[in-house]
Amino acid sequence: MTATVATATTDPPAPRAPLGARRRQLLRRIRKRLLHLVLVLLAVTFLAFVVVDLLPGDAAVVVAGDNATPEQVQQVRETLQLDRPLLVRYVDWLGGVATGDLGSSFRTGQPVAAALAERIPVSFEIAIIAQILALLVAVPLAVYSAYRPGRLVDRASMTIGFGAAAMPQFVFGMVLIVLFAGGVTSILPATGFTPFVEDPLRNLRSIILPCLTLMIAEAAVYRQLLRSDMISTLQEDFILMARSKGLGPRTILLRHALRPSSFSLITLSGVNIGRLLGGTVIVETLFAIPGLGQLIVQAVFNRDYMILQGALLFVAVAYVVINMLIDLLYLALDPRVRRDA
Amino acid sequence: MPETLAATAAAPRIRLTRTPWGWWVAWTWLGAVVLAAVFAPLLPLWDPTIPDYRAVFSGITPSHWLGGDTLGRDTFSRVVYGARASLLVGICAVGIGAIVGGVLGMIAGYFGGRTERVLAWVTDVVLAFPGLVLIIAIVAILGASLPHLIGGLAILSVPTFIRLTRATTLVVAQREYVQAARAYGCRPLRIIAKEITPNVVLPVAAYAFIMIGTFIVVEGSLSFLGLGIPPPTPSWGGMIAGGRAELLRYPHISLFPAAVMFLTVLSINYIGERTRKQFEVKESNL
Amino acid sequence: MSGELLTADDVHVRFRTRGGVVHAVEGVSLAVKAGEVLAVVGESGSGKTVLTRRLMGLVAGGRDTEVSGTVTYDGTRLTDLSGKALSAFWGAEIALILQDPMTSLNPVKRIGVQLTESLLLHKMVATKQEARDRAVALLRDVGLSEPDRRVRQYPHELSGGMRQRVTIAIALSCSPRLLLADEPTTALDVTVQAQILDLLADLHRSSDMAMLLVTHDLRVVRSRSDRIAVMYAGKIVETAPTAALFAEPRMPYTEALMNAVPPVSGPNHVRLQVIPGRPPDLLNPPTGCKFSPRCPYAQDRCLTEDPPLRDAGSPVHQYRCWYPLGTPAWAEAKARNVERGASAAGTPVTEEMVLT
Repeated sequence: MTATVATATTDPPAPRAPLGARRRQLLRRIRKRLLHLVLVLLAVTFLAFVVVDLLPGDAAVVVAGDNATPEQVQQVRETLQLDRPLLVRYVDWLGGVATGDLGSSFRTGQPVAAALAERIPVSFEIAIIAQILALLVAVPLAVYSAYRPGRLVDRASMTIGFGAAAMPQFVFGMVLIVLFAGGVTSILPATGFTPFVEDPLRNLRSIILPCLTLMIAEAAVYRQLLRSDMISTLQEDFILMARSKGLGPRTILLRHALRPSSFSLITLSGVNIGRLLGGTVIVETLFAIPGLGQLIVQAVFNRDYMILQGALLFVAVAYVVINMLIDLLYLALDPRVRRDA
Repeated sequence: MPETLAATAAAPRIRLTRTPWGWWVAWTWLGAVVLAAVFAPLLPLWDPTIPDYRAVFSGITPSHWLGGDTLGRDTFSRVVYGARASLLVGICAVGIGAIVGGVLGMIAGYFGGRTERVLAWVTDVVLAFPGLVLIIAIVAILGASLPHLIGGLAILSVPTFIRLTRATTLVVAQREYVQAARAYGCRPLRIIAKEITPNVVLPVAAYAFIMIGTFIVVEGSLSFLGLGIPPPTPSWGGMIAGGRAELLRYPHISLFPAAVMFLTVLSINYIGERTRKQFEVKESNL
Repeated sequence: MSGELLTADDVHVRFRTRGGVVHAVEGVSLAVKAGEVLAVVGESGSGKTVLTRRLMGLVAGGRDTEVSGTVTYDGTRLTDLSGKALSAFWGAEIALILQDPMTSLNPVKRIGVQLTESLLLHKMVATKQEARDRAVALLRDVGLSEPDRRVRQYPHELSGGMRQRVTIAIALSCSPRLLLADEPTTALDVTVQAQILDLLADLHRSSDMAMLLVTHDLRVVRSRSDRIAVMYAGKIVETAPTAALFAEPRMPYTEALMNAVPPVSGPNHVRLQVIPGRPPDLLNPPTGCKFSPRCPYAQDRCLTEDPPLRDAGSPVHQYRCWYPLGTPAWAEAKARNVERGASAAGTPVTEEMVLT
């Protein structure tokens, strides 16, 4: 054995930068991402801000509403300071946003931040539970489908998934209402929402149908994505190597193949959480759930532009920040990226 | 032994190239929807906006094939006219988005550098808003009308088309004949028009096709929220939303148009998916 | 025969693909004796990799794969076993090393975990701590410096040569009695190749493990194998003890393989011969002798009749050829082809090409 130990030293050194250099590289990457994030955030907040300015005609009149008295219009004009240059007002507004001051609704007088704070947890609960459900359904189906492609489970879940992906959310939700909330089979409430702190059990009952509506199409997409990534992973040499060690299919699928196959799934589900935070519009309208999506739709109908502005701001910023976090999560998940960074 | 093996081997080859029946069903359905939409005024249909009070909430009857809605308007006729709105919005928005996004994407991919960075930034900004929320905001500000809807959806689709064409352009621009054209001193715009566009058209078209299905759903969602094409013009989403109040007693008022919409989107997805796979096979055979 | 650890009898593997049936392995019979090194040599596409995996049972019959023939390991018919029963042999009795160490280690698992999992699976150790200690010892055995640190590293942090040492450590972790090494050095730098081969030779010497060494490079196995089987188009075309094969090759393909490699020593102006043509299309293999389209000595008979495996004097040296090298029939065939400037298959033949 001594001879072989001696030869080891002549192996070319591993392609591994010293720790300090690697960390510097990583920091540079993070810095670059942060700069991009700041630029995108500036543009996004600006877009949300100019919502009011883009209104056709005299913005103050539109914001104040059809039945407003001239005094009210004047008050709106003063609050919005529409006579000052756009950029100055934007910087002012941004300063307010930074301290949590998003203005107040001209309709109800409620501060925008308070309205958002009331609605966000509701949307958040539904979005998270729907994500978890989608993953719970999709991952086992995808793993088994990849293990036995073309067999019954694969074909059946693919067909159902294809149908689910073509089914608009509001249609699927209505079908669920007819099935579970109508007539003799009425076992769940069709609409309405009970906060968790009030009655956890009723809260769960009230979110079952909305969450099912949200998760079905997502589960279909997740299954498809993970299945195809999994199938290509299973063709890798390291899987053959794992088999040749005598490991069973369970261990190979779950311990060896799942993690290297899950990167695109994690990205997509992260993106979807970001999207769902502000995007459960349809479901919240259909099931009458007082979340952020419903707030947006109500703001549009009430012409409550301050609320709309605040909601847009939150939705876009949350989305951008979550995407950024996923990007960083990659570094923790895939040791290869740490080097390639 | 070799003979029997060869015989069994021939079987899967035939199965792989045979067009499945679903393909023809999907095309037939789409064709029927498009033809009905185009020739709706010539067809012997009830007026989609005039109520027949005997048909309120009615189920399937000889005179009203799919029954009547909450006001007694003929569902079949409204589904046919609704197809016009849905298809018009979908096709126009995707068309505009594909052309604008395609051109910008090719420019970004071909020139790179600052042009590309700026476009990437714009793309990121637009994509930072969830699609449905963005289109709701646009409609809320500008008001609900057909042109606003088409314009808003087109804006929504531009970033994805930019990304798609940019990626394709990057690949094509590396090919020898493009490099050769460049070396001959061809002007960039000419190279983009003559050499790159033909390569970009097919993937963009395949993607645009699926996008039409997506936009039919988005238009339906907006109509469902009451932000789509304003009544009394019939649209699928509007009809589905219109039946909501009576959903538990007369589900068919919503579910008939919902089924038509579902089948149409399903057909589009199916054809799009199969076409995409066909492309993949051809690429790998090259 | 006694002492045979692994015997394969008339092994066939055929894949059904879009383009037709691929005849990957066509009736291979071979035996590996306990403790010996058998080299399987052939060009890429000769079926040697598929054969290796079939011997182990990693390639099994299925919807698109057709297998026949038997493989027996130490009295057990592997080909009769279920997947689950087979995997009890894998790792513990028969181990595998793959060609590319860059892809044969799981990129998201630490080296230590990949080593200890087979130790724990096959109950070679009782506790995790013991497994860890064994892993460190194994890495030291295969000549990796700083084994304590290596177990915590990820594969991408090691060089190709180091990774191949890790896969060897994994393969040897449960002291298998048979090691299948599928081109273990092809993907490595030339300097590292020799080190890995020497390591394998050392490890082989210090245990009673038998080895099936698959390669496309005859040079590699000249001093490192007891017997050689040359494969072409899914068949064994010549098999002999290593010395006998080099001294007296009978099959023109073996000769071509030898000539395709520059001699390690000797005059450096020797013309390097390239085997004309391409490896056969396994979808539509040629009729007759599969090598005939590329063989400079091919006659009409070679194009129509597939030669059987025949003994060259003793049963340990067998070959498939109608005109074996060194016989009068061969000399005649060679003269005829040189004269007409082409083989019976139409491949151009010049005097220079057949100078052996």
